Amino acid sequence: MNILGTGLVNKENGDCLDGRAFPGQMRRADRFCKMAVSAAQDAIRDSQNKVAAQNTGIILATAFGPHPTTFKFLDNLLDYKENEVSPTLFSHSVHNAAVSYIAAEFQINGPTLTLAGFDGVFAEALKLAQCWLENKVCSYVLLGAAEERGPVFDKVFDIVDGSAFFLFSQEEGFCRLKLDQRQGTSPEQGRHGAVVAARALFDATAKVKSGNAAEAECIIRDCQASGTVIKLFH
Amino acid sequence: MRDIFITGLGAISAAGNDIVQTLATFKNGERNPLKPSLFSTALPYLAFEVNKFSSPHTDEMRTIQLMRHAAGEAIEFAGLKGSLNDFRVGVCLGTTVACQLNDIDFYRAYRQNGAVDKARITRYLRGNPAENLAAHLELNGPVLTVANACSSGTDAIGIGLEWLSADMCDIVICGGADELSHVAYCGFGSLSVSSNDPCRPFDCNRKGLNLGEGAGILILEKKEIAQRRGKKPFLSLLGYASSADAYHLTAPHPDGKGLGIAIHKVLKNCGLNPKEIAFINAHGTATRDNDRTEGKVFKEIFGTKIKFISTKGFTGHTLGAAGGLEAVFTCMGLREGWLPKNPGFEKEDPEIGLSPLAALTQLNGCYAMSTSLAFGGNNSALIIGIER
Repeated sequence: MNILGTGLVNKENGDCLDGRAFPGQMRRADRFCKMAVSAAQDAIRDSQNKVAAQNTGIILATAFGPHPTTFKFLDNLLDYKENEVSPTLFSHSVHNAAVSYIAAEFQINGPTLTLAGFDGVFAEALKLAQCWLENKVCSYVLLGAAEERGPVFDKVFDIVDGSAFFLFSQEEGFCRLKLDQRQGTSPEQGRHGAVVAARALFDATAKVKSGNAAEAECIIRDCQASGTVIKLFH
Repeated sequence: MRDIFITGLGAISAAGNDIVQTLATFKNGERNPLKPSLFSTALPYLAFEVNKFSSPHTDEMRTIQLMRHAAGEAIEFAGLKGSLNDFRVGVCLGTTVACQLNDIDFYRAYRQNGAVDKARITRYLRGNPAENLAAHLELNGPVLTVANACSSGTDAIGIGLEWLSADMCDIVICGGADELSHVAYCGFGSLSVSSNDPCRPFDCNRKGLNLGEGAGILILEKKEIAQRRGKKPFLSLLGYASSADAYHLTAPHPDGKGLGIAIHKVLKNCGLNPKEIAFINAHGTATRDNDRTEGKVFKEIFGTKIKFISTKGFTGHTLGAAGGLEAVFTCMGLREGWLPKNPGFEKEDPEIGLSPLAALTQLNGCYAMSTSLAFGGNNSALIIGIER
């Protein structure tokens, strides 16, 4: 499959949402959703808007989901009566809220999936995207990862905050991607969340896209405790 | 159509702790939603809890206990107990509750002293259903947990179909699991979609949903593997399609746009016309919006004679488990040749203009559909077939 566009938002230069404008329908959206929508928007723009309503699928991989919103909802439960909790916090605490916003923002009516996993979920999501394209489930797959840091999980995890998205297709893009299996070579990435793997792919893609390399390679963990080798070709 | 057999079924819900008990409940039409006993609450909403259930896996979260129970039944049903490791086996399971750290005691302790209970964190990390089952059974195929809210179980089964079609594995254990959670119970209450009375899917006077819990698991198998194991062609998973409303976070598209697309797509993928569908196991949550939207789409595509039921009147809305359980119930309907009555239905809603089955009904036909609509606007449909 080919990469037609990429997008990345992260905290390296201040808060990744600084200066971003969001549509009115996102006025209640939390930071997790806004990061995912921003990265998806960048990937779509990068592809010169190659998404097509029913012919585009969306997949989001995450380990921890919008856990700061979940904990805010638990604050509600502990601080107020059970019938006084916020429906807005509850509806944003579900993992698939971000994908719902992406679909609504770009009017995508294809299949939408949010995948949750601690062990190689991004690699499995990539394999599924390839499967969708080969089985002609859709012509484009907008695939990404998102994670958010928060005070509770900061005590036990080293989550890489941000979101990265890619637009994949069988159509010609700026970069061709090949997935391979390699045993016993993967770095431990499970407890940092899914963005680590997405970031590795983003960086490898950038090398090829910039013309600095004709091909690049990155290895990300998959569910079999081995490595999925991603090879990228110009 | 694709040659993917369904060789195993497992179900646990308030309707019964296995397939046999569930069939008995469906036959006698009894149901008994109550105030929750798993947690204390001042809210008035009824819920469907799994009864008389104990699991040997006491260190796991309840969702995992339910999932392992139903998976055990499905594996035994398929005759695969002890031999799964001879094949490339994938696991794809849906959930909503298990992928969140919805642990009020854990969070209360954190707020009090800033400490994080590592044992609870370990339990949470072990609580990803697909990763848990794959590790427990030492399986070697692809592993994914779907967190697509209420369509998670259906989507997990659809992914299993895609994996087998792409030869990524030989067998897939798929479906969904969720426990009744205090957090979700209050959350659905805050959305004003829960009912104090037993739910009444598609009824004119429906007042909302009752939450439930459970797990529904299917074993999907490539035809050649099933035949090599001496399994006769019986139930098949013929197709799956999914479509987003692209409309609203919590409300379905008023015209059922996404559901209509998903149903048309799956019919087309299977080469079937609407008249060939013997019945639909509807999502049927008993909320005003869901049932109106779903009914409208059914009427437009299938006409007013279509046979359909919502089994949520027996199980409650089991969230991530719902698609798995309802796919199992769809298989049971085809296999047994009858469908139970739609619990709680008395009077047709003129806004919907069609009625679910009001009595136990004998069936003909070889194809049935199961539909799921989700928070977030995802809509999914499966078609299951039987060889007669």
